[in-house]
Amino acid sequence: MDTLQTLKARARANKRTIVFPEGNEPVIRDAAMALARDGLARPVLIGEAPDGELAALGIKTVDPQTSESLETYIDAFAAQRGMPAGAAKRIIAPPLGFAAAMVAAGDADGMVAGLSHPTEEVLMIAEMVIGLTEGVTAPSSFFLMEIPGYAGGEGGALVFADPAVNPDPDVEALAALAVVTAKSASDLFGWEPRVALLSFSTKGSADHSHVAKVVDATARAQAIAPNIAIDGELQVDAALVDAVARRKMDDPGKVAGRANILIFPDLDAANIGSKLVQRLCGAASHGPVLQGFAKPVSDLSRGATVEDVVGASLMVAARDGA
Amino acid sequence: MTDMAQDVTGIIAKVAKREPSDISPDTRIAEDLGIKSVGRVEIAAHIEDQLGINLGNFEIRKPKTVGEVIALVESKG
Repeated sequence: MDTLQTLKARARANKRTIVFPEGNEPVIRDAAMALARDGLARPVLIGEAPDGELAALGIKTVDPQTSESLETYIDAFAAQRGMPAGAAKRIIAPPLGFAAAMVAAGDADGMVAGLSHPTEEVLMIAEMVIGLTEGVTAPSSFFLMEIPGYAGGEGGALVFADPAVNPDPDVEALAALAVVTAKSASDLFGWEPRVALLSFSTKGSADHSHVAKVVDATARAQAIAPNIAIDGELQVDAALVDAVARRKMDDPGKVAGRANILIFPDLDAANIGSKLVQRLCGAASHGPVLQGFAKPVSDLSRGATVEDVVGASLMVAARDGA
Repeated sequence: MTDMAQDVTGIIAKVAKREPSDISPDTRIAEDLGIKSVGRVEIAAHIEDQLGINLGNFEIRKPKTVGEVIALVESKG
């Protein structure tokens, strides 16, 4: 079963309620109908009342201004942030804040947004209203790379993190990125994670402050998640190629030579590496998928198609523990 | 300092969990007060609630210092 089919099977079993704050957009409405028709999720649209076709598929719409829940969400957010209700209303009453508040309150399992909001605004509101997973200090992202002709990783697929959000993670952020990406791959794809923290050095072959950051982050990640296979610092060939790992290391362990998750030391490396693999190997890259929030959130590009919205929704709908 | 400047300084101090007396117009929002982008959205929400001046979530990202926030608010007041 390929990744898309795996995600769809998981989504159908989960039947998550997904809220779309840009529910008046035709692309979102068409994607919601596709999701409902295929039994992949229960979409809720923030926007105007549904037309006959939406209603026939059981798709709900909510107008924040007339919703009975608005005051409840505002009061809960005001209490949580210690701010006056008037200030809280400014954040919660608009569609993006209201959708995030629905997720925070448990009235939806996850949110898909970004068609008419910049990524940074989606990140800000999600972090503020939904919050972050315990131990995570900033949201992050990953690409799922499906590489034609590649036999390694997980059936020819690899996860690359973080190609889109944090330009220069420090030791704590890099360690948290390793752990949260492992959890994402496990929750979404059912993988047993083998996480390599990448560097230009393998186990002390070079001495530099950039190497020290990866060494320290590896130790921190291993301490946070002792049950996950995490290793570093590794060059990418030592992480992926068994023969290289054996040549460079006495004991390659569970990760070196057969990693399925690559943690790049910064956004430059992750972004460049992802695009090289995409362009030179013809890999299909899915994402960037957001992670690190207390509940699942997917971002859309401004030019997202119906298929893109369905794909981003699957990343919410297929996740375990939503 | 104008009344509006005092109000804005008080709002920023509250979000940063500092005393207003610790903050001057030269105080830097990110480096000195540790306010991230979400904190800036909170500042904008308080300014709209308290002073009735609407700042967009992206407008409030631009100022680097407390003085620049005050100038932004005064330009709209």
